[in-house]
Amino acid sequence: MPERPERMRRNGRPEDGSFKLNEKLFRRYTQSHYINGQFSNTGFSFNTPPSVSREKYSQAADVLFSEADEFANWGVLSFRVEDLPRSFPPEVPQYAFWPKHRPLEDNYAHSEVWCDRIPETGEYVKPSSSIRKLFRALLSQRVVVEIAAAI
Amino acid sequence: MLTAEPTNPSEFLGSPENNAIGGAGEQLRAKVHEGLRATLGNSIFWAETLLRNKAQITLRSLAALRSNWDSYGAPTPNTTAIENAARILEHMTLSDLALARIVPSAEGGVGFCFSKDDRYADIESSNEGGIIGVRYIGMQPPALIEIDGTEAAIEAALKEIRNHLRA
Repeated sequence: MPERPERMRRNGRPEDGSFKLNEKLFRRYTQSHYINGQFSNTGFSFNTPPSVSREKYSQAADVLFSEADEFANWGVLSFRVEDLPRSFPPEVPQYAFWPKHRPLEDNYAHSEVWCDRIPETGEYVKPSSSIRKLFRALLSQRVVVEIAAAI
Repeated sequence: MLTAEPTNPSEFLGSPENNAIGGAGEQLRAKVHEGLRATLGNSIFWAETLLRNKAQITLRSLAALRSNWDSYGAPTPNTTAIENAARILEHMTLSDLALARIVPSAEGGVGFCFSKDDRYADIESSNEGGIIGVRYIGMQPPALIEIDGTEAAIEAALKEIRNHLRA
């Protein structure tokens, strides 16, 4: 059984709400959502805050770590904190997107992409389907492959 | 009695067998076989039928996906999404079918994705019953393709995608 890298363990460390704009956020993917070299937005969901792993406390390969090795041959993509717009859509801002550090005991880097209405409610707000579609497309345009998927 | 229908052009010819005609019969069979293969192989109707069948098989396989197929909690495409996807499929032409990649949507549903050079477009049929699309070129701002679910709107959306990819 592969051993979990020590950096992944929380070990009592506190939440860290400070993200630099150029910090990468990592996520697993498979080839099914790569269409002629373009990542399809259908591979993203904003029904609930999507999970990511932040670069400050992890490496891209960490999102593939599993004791059961269930993510062998999956790939890792990334986008940056600056790709999450604080007001969206630009013409008529209705929503804000930003990363939130949500550490887990066995995955300290675990974070989520949050969304709230403008003005803010303090809760995760699921954007309307048209805003979700536009934002998912915008984000998919910005993803970079960190580790290429083999499946 | 029900019998299996041939699924490949060459199956219409039946299986080869020896008879008194011998080599001449075999030559004639090979010639007819080749002619039929050329005719059906170049047939737009046949090509479209094969692609449509393949797409329907893909839709069925998406309906059989386990939930959490993306490891982030994605739901299986439900009956509503599959039925709307089948309606979209009905409006697709041979060139649409040849370009489309049919994928599960992480939000729950089915996506028909099209890409050519730096142009991308899709139509997504969601588990909630909605149909929506998007198109963009490279890093340009994405544009929504709004679809009210009617046959006319689906047809118009596919036309918009064709124009987008062709431009």
